[in-house]
Amino acid sequence: MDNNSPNEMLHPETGDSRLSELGDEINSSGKQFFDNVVLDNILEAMVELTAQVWTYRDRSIILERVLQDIVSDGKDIAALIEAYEPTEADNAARAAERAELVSNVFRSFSRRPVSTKTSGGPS
Amino acid sequence: MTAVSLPRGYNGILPRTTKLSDESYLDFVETFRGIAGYGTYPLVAQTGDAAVGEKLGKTDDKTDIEAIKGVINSLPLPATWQRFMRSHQEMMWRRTRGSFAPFIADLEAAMNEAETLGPGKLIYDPEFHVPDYARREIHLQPGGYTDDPLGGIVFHYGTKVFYAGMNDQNELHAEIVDSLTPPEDGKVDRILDLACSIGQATMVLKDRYPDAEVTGFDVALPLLRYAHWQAVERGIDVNFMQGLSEDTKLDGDSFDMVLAYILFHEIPVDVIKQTVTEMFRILRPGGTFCIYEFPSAGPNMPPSQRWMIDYDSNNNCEPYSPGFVYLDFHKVLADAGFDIKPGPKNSNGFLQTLVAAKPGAS
Repeated sequence: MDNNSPNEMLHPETGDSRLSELGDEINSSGKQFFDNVVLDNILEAMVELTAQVWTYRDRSIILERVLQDIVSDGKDIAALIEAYEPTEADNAARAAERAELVSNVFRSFSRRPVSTKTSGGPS
Repeated sequence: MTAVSLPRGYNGILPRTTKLSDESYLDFVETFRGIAGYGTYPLVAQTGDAAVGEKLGKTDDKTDIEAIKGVINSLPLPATWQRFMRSHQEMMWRRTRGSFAPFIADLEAAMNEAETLGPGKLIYDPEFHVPDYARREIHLQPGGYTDDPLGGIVFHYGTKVFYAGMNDQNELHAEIVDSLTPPEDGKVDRILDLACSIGQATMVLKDRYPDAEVTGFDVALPLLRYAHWQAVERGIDVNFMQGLSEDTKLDGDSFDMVLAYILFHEIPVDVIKQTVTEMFRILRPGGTFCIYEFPSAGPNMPPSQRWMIDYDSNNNCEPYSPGFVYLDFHKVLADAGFDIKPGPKNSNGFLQTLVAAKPGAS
């Protein structure tokens, strides 16, 4: 489970309040560099999306390597993955991860709901 | 002593992130920084300089930075570069801190225990007051260097990303230590690593100068606690001490060599001047002050570099760097009494290196 949304990160299972009082720079509305803030938001979302895509791709690479190492009867791991039928519990967990992915990627649009820039950048 | 059992262990001296997904995410950030940040900057600079030349004509270090920003910030590529730099830096700190935060209790217990152990000592006054100027969230690190109990390990992994994997085992700090200029008489009994942060150079110094007494000095207790823990774990006999660079409380004429690695652009100008005076005081005659630092501005500094330093100051929480860059730092050193020579070349070509010697023989 990829559980690093900002809120979870800042009040982890420790419940240590010192951890949630810091990070004004990274948890505020951030910075705006374009006159049209939507451009800032799209670009930030693009970076976040690519990070998320790579994170999952990296895990799948390692997963298939690990599985292939432990399977000794010649089964085709890729074919087994394709044929797998998820359980209800599987689907609930996948839905939660999916929602978190969407929240992380599109966080920039709610960080800067209005423009804070008066002039000076490309539009 | 019980080491903290991080779920995924260590890669040499570098803690691994506590989850594979954190490592993958931060690997991406590191690669993105290399390509979209460092890799794209030359084109950003070329584009910006060309536009400034066209709009403002010839410029120098006295040209109004707002005029330069007005031109460069209006260009698509520099604006995109700024967006990418800020966004990936935020992503790096969020994920790094998020990875280690669940282990704060274990990490603090290990650092507490290390305070009772040697071979070296951790020296600080619990009543020490950290001045406000030092409490900024430098480089956007949550809590900065001084306010986050997790600051040490977060700094360690965060700067691993910053250095793009080239300093995972302190390779860059080793390069700096190996290039230091000892006093001409060769006597090196006491060394100060000024603004040592997590003690990466401090511990290499002890390896290279095993007979010397080596002290790492910093204002940031969270970083020093982590440094001391690491030194205890590795059995390295170095001391760490919390204090102010401008008023160290250390004895005069007592150090043979002082290293300051990228300190001066992180402190205000008045503190820079006081720090230089203080280093002159604590060095013995003939002692050397080895400085690795941001560049100083001059008439030939291109407008794109001035723009980048301004970006970094305003958007990467480097509040004091322009103060240093536009300061006549050579004059500050000379006014304090130092003899100044150019320092050794460094693989980080952005940095200037200086060797300031205290006149006289011991």
